[in-house]
Amino acid sequence: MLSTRSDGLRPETRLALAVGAGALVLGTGLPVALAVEAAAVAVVIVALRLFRAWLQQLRLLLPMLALLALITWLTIDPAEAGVAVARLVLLSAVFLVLFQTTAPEDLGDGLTRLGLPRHLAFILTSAIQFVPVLQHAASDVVDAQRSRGIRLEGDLASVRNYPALLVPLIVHAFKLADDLAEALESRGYSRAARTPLGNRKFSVLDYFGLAGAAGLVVLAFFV
Amino acid sequence: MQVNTRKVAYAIVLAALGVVLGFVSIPTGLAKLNPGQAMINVLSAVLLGPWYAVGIAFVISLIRNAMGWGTLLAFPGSMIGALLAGLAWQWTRNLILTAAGEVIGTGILGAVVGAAIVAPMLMARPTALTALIIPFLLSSLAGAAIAVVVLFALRQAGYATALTGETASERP
Amino acid sequence: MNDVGIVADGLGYRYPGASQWALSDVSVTIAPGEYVLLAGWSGSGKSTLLRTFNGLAPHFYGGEMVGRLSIGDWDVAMTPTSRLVERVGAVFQNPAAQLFSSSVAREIAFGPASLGLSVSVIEERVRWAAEVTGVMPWLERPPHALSGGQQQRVAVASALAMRPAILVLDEPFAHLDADGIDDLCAVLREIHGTGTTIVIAEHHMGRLVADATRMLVMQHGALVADGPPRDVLAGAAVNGLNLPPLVRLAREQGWNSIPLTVDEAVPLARSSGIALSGLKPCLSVMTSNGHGSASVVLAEDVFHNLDGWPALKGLSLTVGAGERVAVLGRNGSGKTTFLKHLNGLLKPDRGRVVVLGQDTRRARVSELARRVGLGFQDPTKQLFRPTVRREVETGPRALGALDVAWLDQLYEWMGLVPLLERSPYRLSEGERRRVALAAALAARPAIAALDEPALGQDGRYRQSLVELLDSLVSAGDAVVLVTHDLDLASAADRWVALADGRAVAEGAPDTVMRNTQAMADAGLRPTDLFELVRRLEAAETADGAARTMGGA
Ligand SMILES: Nc1ncnc2c1ncn2[C@@H]1O[C@H](COP(=O)(O)OP(=O)(O)OP(=O)(O)O)[C@@H](O)[C@H]1O
Ligand SMILES: Nc1ncnc2c1ncn2[C@@H]1O[C@H](COP(=O)(O)OP(=O)(O)OP(=O)(O)O)[C@@H](O)[C@H]1O
Ligand SMILES: [Mg+2]
Ligand SMILES: [Mg+2]
Repeated sequence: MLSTRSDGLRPETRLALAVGAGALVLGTGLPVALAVEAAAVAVVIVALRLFRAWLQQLRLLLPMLALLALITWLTIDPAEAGVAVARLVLLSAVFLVLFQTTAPEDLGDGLTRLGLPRHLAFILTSAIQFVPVLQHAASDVVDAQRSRGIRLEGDLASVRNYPALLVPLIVHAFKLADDLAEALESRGYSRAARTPLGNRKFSVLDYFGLAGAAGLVVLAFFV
Repeated sequence: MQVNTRKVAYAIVLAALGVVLGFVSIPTGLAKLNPGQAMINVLSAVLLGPWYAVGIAFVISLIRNAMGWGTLLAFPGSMIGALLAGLAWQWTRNLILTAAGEVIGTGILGAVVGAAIVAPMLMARPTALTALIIPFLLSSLAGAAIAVVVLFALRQAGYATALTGETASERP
Repeated sequence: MNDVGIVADGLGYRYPGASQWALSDVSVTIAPGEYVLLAGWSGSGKSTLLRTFNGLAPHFYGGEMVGRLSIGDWDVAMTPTSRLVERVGAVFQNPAAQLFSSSVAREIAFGPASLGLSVSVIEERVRWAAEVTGVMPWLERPPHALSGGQQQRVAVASALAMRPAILVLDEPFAHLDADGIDDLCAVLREIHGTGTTIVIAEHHMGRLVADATRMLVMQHGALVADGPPRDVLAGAAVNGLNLPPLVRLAREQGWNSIPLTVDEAVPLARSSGIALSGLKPCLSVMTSNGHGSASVVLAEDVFHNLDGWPALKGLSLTVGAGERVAVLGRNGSGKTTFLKHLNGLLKPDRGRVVVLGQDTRRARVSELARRVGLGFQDPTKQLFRPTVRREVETGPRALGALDVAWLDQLYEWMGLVPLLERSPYRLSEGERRRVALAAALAARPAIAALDEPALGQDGRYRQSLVELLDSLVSAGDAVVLVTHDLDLASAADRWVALADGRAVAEGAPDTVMRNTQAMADAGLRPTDLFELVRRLEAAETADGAARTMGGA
């Protein structure tokens, strides 16, 4: 009930695997090896039913990929451009898998055990929850301002009116923060002895996972 | 350890706001500018100080990456910008210098560090990505300028006494 | 039954930097297990008093506290909030700001985890709190994906899971529909039944006056009345509050007892001999203004999906010139979505919306904004100017429609004249909402479309709002009013009840209220006044029948 989505491996293990896979991707020079890695990542994505999430990521990544390809193409060569793009796509996909299969809070717990300050981990996991809230607030502000004739259509001419969007949005965010602080305090955030939730023991699976992550890093030196 | 719950709450909300503002981009014809992160850097530097500002920049970059809305290059850029802006505010209490700290940190140092550290991982030779300095610089300039305008508007509106000197912890 | 009482003795509190005392000389003893309704004008200090109970004031807000306040044997001045939370649970007004975890289960577990309880105890607490509040089905969902009403229940569950002896709630009903309010009232009754002390601050007293065992009234930071709700409601201290209509009626008619429910009101009304005809005018406005005249809004079979969620599913609706139309329905029934169609912020996916002869699909928002004034549900989200005057003038200037005489009149109505040169951010919540409302009407639109304009306002302002709407329609403008508050909606000429993105009933208020099927479909409850009239009518018919029989 409390451990939400992340069953099986501990978040640290997952993180280690992702970092290992990331290192492997970045360390790979041979196009053939990259293709093999791409196939492996594709299998994972399909098996975990993350294909749509991946497409979404790819769409958002597109401008950056184009810039990267263009610069590399112009200054080095087309082949190197292909490799660079492939690395970036694979790297992003690896971390996509991590984030899609691990609840942000579990990841925060894991990072805390690895030395990330507890409050930073909390900021991370809670900020994720407030993204949709503020997204909603932003669109409310835009609606309200457009309703009284202030142009905010997202073109260059509207930049002049940005304070009409940003000032109310920021003030709203401050109010939200004040209310949140009050709520945190009322639920005992500043007490010392907090029970860690969703903690699992290291299992055999985790040792295999860690070994696998180490293996991936080692492999990175050979391909 | 004594935590400042209010600072933590502000950090949470500013980080989320930074992610959301990442969607606001200014089309200039050449490239899209994303001034949101730069603005949050200046804002959190002023409100919460350098260390929180760096933490917030880290969180924003992480979330953006996790959700596929950002690139790894954003990490060094935004974190250095946040640090410089935070230190500038701590030392000078001058908004313009704080904004300048952000521009130098993100637009110049961040881009150079990004090119020097991250780029070689992606490609064989790092040199070219120094071209990144251009979009980074433009974005952080735009963001810092907007931040200054907005902060003045907030101060004028009489909101957030924090913006006139003290930080959130000392706020009444 | 717990044994933790609240004792305040000469309690005063002032926010840092404030010259005024937000609380002054409050002395009250609340015994374990009481159910206390805290009432008072906007800005009278209700929220502040609640904040002292778990020590947020003064420990979190700073400021100055005088006198004594103790929670059981703990002196609040000496006990940090982190300790007081073991005894006092709190639910604040904005549920979205109180929920920060990735799942409802985690959210509820956060408080018990702070207390350092073992994981098995925490799980047990989560299950119990979820069951009491009825949030079991959503345990695995992220809180921000829930509706406002559902979030409010999660916030209550999260406070309950810490098993506080005292639960304080600050305006938990704002934005809830009738079902949401009834459900929350039932939850509160249940936990009150287990011995928990409840202290609740609300403008919308409704059923609370019947549930609470005690009522406190604040004014300018001081307690001005204290006693069983029935006695307090009979006194002068409640003047200017948003009183339940039955209470207002009893006070106006000078009945010798204050009815808290319709059942109680029936015999009182009969013995006072009030004529039915005397009651009806306050039930609905009989003069059906403008209905049948040229329609200024014509919505035909409108469909609209919001992020894939079908918010409108074939809505048809007309508004005539000079008509006041109230749009009613559950949370999520599509009311706000419909309003956004009026000035083209949203365009129909299917069907059409014609506003003043113009199809919204072919018009720009800035064109329509000139003629349709939209007041939003959370209107404070649009304020950004340094003074109230400039804020209100922003819209008309952008639209090239500045009419100084009209604005002066508007300031007068909204009670903004003394505030014009102040910063909108330095005003109380209620005042800010009025600024935003003035801004919505500033371009002198032909159609005023207002989303919950009376929320969080006390009785004094509600009265002037109704007057403003009257004067708009008598000038030939049309008003579209969206609200959960059917007593306010009774000021409209016509009601349109929405359910599931469609209109299920329309007509004069009492016509709609007589349509029990549609009322149930739309999740609406007839107003107490309507119920009273119906019961009186039924009684009169029965009397008549009895007389005829006796005569025969
Ligand atoms: N955080 C704050 N800082 C400074 N002053 C405040 C703060 N909150 C409230 N006040 C002031 O304290 C007084 C009491 O406010 P409080 O919020 O307790 O009123 P309320 O009865 O809850 O009103 P409402 O019904 O509008 O919620 C008001 O004058 C208000 O301006
Ligand atoms: N089950 C649901 N799933 C997704 N979205 C929903 C659901 N129920 C309601 N919504 C939301 O309902 C909204 C459409 O309704 P709208 O906001 O018009 O409701 P409303 O009648 O104004 O409600 P309220 O009384 O709460 O203001 C959208 O924001 C939509 O996201
Ligand atoms: Mg209040
Ligand atoms: Mg609504």
